[in-house]
Amino acid sequence: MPRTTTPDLRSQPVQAAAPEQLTMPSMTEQLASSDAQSHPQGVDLEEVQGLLYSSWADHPYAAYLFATLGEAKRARAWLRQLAAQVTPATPALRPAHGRVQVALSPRGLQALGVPKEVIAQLPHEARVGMFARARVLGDLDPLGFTLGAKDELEVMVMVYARDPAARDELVSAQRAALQAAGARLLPVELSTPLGEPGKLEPEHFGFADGISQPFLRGLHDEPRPGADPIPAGELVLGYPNAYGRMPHSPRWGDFDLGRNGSYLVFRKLEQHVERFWGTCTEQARALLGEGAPAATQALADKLAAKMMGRWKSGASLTLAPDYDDPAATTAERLNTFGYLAEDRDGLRCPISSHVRRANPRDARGGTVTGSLTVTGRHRILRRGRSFGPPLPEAMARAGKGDGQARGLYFLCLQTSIARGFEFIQQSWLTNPGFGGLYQESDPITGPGGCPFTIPEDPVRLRLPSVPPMVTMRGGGYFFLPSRPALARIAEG
Amino acid sequence: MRRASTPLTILAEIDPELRDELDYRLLCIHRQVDAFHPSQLPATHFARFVIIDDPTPSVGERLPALLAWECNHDGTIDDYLSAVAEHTPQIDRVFSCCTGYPRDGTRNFDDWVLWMRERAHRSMAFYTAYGDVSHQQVHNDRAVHQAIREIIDADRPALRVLPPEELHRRIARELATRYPQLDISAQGEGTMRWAFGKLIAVLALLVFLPFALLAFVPWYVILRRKERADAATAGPVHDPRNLWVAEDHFTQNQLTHIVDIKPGWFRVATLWIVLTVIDALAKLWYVHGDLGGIVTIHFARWVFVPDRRPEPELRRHRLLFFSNYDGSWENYLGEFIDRAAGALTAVWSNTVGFPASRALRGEGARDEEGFKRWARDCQVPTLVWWTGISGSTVQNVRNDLWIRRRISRELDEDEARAWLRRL
Repeated sequence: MPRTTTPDLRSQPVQAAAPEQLTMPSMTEQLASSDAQSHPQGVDLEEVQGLLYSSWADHPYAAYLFATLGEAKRARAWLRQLAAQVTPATPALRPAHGRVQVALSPRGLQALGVPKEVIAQLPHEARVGMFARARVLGDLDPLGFTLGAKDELEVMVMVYARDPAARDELVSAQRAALQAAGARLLPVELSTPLGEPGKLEPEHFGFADGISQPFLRGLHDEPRPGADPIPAGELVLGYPNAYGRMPHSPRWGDFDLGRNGSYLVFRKLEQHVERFWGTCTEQARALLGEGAPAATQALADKLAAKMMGRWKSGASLTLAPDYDDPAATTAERLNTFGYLAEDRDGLRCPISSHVRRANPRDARGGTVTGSLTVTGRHRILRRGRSFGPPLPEAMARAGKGDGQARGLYFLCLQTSIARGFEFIQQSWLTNPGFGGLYQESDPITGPGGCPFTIPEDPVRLRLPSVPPMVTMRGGGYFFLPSRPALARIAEG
Repeated sequence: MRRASTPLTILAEIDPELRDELDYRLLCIHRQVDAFHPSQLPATHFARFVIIDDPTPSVGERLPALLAWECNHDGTIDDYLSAVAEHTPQIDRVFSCCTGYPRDGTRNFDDWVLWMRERAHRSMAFYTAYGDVSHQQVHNDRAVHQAIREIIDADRPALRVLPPEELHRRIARELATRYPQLDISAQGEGTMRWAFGKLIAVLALLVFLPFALLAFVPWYVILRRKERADAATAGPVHDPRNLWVAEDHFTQNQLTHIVDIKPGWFRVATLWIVLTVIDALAKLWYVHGDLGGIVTIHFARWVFVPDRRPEPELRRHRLLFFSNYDGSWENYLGEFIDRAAGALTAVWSNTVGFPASRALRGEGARDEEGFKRWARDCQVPTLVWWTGISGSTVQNVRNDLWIRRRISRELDEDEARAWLRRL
């Protein structure tokens, strides 16, 4: 229905406004006038699911449960029970042990009896689903997905525990509850336990992960090192976003179903660790000839860092171009650099490297401010964990696998999947023309089979064909409701 | 002084009796099973066929459905049409579904050209990222860059020890001997014309300035009154017609968009002024593929589609927009909002349903979700779309051109280093 002229009542801001107040100027003024409205506080923190504020690093053992729901009435009874266990952000309301979060896909909401006109207000890409969006996302083999290929992921329950026994207990309790409600369960997805608390967790390739994270004001007063503040509306519905507007929130009659909720993206990414390090070793050997093993290993490390854009410690190549320099990993430097001033051409950190693509910072074109405005509108909060046992380094370097599957449960939160995860995946990571490149995708997460250019003076080095280092095994798009929204859905 | 790429927009009324036949023929072309395929069109950068319906008119009766042929080609329109008639007479298969099409089609060339010219619409504003570079040149430059890649990859260890200027000379020599068929001359874009055009534009501005100042206050008062009364589209971003299925391909994409201009002469006149200014900027200032930080648009144009029905109060003039761009829909719209919201709002705030604007350029497209929803609502599926430079982004084309123009020149050390960094 093109050329609509009547304002759509569903887009009403949180304060019930008359239709004529919907024009944007008045809304912006309303927002600007109330600072209390700009981030979750007080009662709102009791409403948001804790995952928005914490990765539950003090709970090293995580598990993800997926299920297809059964009959609506029983499903609602199950949700009513679960809603009471869901961990809020407010520390005082958290139990001593164990964390539980829950997300529902549009299909799951439908199975719970949420009316069609409410579901129609969910983001288009969430309703279409990750499986259907495979072409757009550059996922090569959606039919091979072990998760989400049949639109079967209706519920996602996330549990976090302090030790393996507690996790087993949580998992069996949640499974039993789902089963009792007539849901069909998928195999449990168990995370690799986290290592030392307070340290950056390495992913399977061996690189420190989770460095660049947005900071969500509200619970914590100041950004922790490496976290930059972004408007709450980028991560939580019901607050102004990076455009200074209220992101659209689905409403169920008078009830704002979206408020204090978010959208969750889950992807199971298998990492081919032996292929990654094997390729780096092989390329180093090809460049050096049969040289000293130490030199080959150093060059392999450098090539790996060039692909990632950071050294294993997390030090940016823009700050530490030649070797993994601990001086570049201090809290003040780790995440506080730009590319444009010192590294415009990517001579230190290649333009095609993974972290430069995932967050181009000031080098997305135009001025520094212009670029930061653009990149600031595509931020996501990552909450992923690894799965599978680590591969011993010597085996990885020799290109030998152990037959075990390992990788990353990628999990992120945002208020717009299209502008958040999908944008980063499509327009930055996979885009073969990113930053003026030619037919070149991300060397880590891309589909593989394309070149990787390492700028150098006087002339660039080009790896002609990098194999796929990661294989997408499935996933889905979910709504992460607030606790009152869960109660409302359970009510029916 | 030539301008290589020319925008061609043909809008022809579809014979309602032959509508289904046309749908079918376009589908065959899209699936590449028809005798005619756009790749056969000579010297063409991009081409598309779109059917423009009028499903839900706000007032009066529906306007007849139009077949739009959008094309970016080299040379003049007359030369191009005669080349099309000569090389791709199968174009008759498409246009014979339109009313009044000459019975003998392209075989009766004079009648055919007349018919086409009557339906050709001028672009009110036309942007191109490489207007002076012919289709053939784009391909040549791409091949030159590819040849350079091969030369380096084959012999990098020996090359990288050379000083930059020597390395540049060596590559130029290898190119000349090993790839004699490629053009490695320094010829480029005519910069003089732009300087001259800029002068004319500034003079024209000075002449009209007093009049503009006189008219400004009444114009502004009327504008603000109208803006306060206008209704805007609202709601979440959606895609009820699943337009995304034909979009978000890696590298290049297309967009076709048509919307009613708000009723009355005031909006038409305002739009005319805005688009004239944008056209001048696009032709004279933004000529190097960078539209204020947006480096992803190959060709874009706005076309005024007049409604010539007898009753003036029922007329609905429309504004048609075509774009050939790099990257995803989300990226394209996002860059518009982030880097050119003012200009976009100045254009489209004159059209129905656009998010509320203030003083022509304010707000409007800055309502991100409202703007995206409105854009989706007015978008038209592109039934046939063809690119003549598949796989190349605007940045690739511009970079290839830049590299090729500096091969045959003598470069000093710094220049040679800069040149090598762009390979």
